[in-house]
Amino acid sequence: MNEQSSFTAIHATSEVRIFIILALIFFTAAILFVGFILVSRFTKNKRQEKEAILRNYFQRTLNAMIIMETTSSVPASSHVFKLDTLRTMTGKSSLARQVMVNQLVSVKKSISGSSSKILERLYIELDLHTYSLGKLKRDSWQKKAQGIRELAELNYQPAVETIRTYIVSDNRTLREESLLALVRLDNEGPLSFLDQYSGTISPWMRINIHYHLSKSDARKLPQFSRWFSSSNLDVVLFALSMARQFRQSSAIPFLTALLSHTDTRVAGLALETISALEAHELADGITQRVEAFWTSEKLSSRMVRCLGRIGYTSEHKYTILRYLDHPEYTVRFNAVQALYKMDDEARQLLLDFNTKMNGILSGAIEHVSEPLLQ
Amino acid sequence: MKILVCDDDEALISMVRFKLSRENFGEVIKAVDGREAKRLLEENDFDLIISDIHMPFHSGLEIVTHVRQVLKKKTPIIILSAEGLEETVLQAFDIGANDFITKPFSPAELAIRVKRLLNL
Repeated sequence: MNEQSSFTAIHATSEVRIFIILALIFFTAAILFVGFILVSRFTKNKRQEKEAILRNYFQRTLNAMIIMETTSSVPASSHVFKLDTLRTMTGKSSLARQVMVNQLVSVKKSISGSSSKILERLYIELDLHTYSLGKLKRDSWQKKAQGIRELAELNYQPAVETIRTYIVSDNRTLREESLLALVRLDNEGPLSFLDQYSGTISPWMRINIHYHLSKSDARKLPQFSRWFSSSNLDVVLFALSMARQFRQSSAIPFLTALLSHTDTRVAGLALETISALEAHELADGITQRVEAFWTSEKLSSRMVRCLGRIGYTSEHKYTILRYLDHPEYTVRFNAVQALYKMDDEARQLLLDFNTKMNGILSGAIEHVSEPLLQ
Repeated sequence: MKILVCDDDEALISMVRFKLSRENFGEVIKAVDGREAKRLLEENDFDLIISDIHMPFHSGLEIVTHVRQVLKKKTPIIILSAEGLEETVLQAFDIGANDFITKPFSPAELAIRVKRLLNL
């Protein structure tokens, strides 16, 4: 009995021991975890404080350098002194370099003219372009993308060829960043990469490219029609969309061919481009595609809208009239709208047709004739 | 002379304040969002307001409406915006803005426009 109780006691003691050891391990881990959180939060706060101090200092120095240089004759020694101070500070830590680059980028977004040129010059004088180029050698794609964006924002044109190597990157973000950078940096041919481009062009890229092109000299814009025959469908759609946005009438002679494109999106966008460019001379060419487009609701709708806008009322109203009998309501509605807006004769044709068909289009006519909906 | 500069971009505010003080336009007060701008406008009389369009809480266009319709003041207002769309510009002038500058802008040009609006 005694033996059994001593065995139980020993057994219990070892169980308690294990429990105590586990509790200690857990307790130590918890303390280490809390300690880690506190230390990382402290480090983060310190870093943020340091960043704020640096940002404040850099901004004041930048203000002085930009405003003084553009308004008065500042002694060269003053500029050299400020530059040396900045160089010493940015040379000390990568945090200071990053804060300075961020400030340069941030200010450059808001100012233009000679002040903006000073920022670009400072970027080079402080050797920060080397810092951004260094990011392209890092393994992380985020760092690479950040480097590319900095080089583009601060207009560092010698980086064009290095950035060009990323347009075939497997990483989509890197690819898109490099394309946008090229649009901004490559003055000779901002869209020349499209010649060999085999990737996709996302709506985000299209908007960004359009934004940058719209800020550049309109006379330097490329002829977008040169990419209408590209084997990359995305490039063709992009070129068409840009020709329409920038109203390039030089693209008009090449648009009829695109109406026969195997991809309906291209044919549809070509119709919209013809309409936007008001290419009246193509109206007859469009009517030849009536049969081919008839079964497509989208293409027929676009065809009718396009003819309504650019067609000659005397000739093309009869083509539009055919669409009043189209199986799709959207197409019929577009035809009603086009005829109603054309001229009195076209409007009368519409009303006669409606009477003949026992008023089946009355609702649509009422809708398009409502002044509040015009 | 008292000028209010409203923008959520601290770097830009800092630059504009520096430029305007260098040109001796007087005291330049900053507001980093629409709410602060409205509060400052209600508590002070400004000789000129420079405001961005896109700001937290209240937009620059709301600030213009507030000044013209609620405070009933004729203080000259310059709108700064990265958005140069025709309808935005027209809307700004329509509700009472006196000038519109598209970002990026030249600080020197801003100073000239301020001088013109202040009749200096």
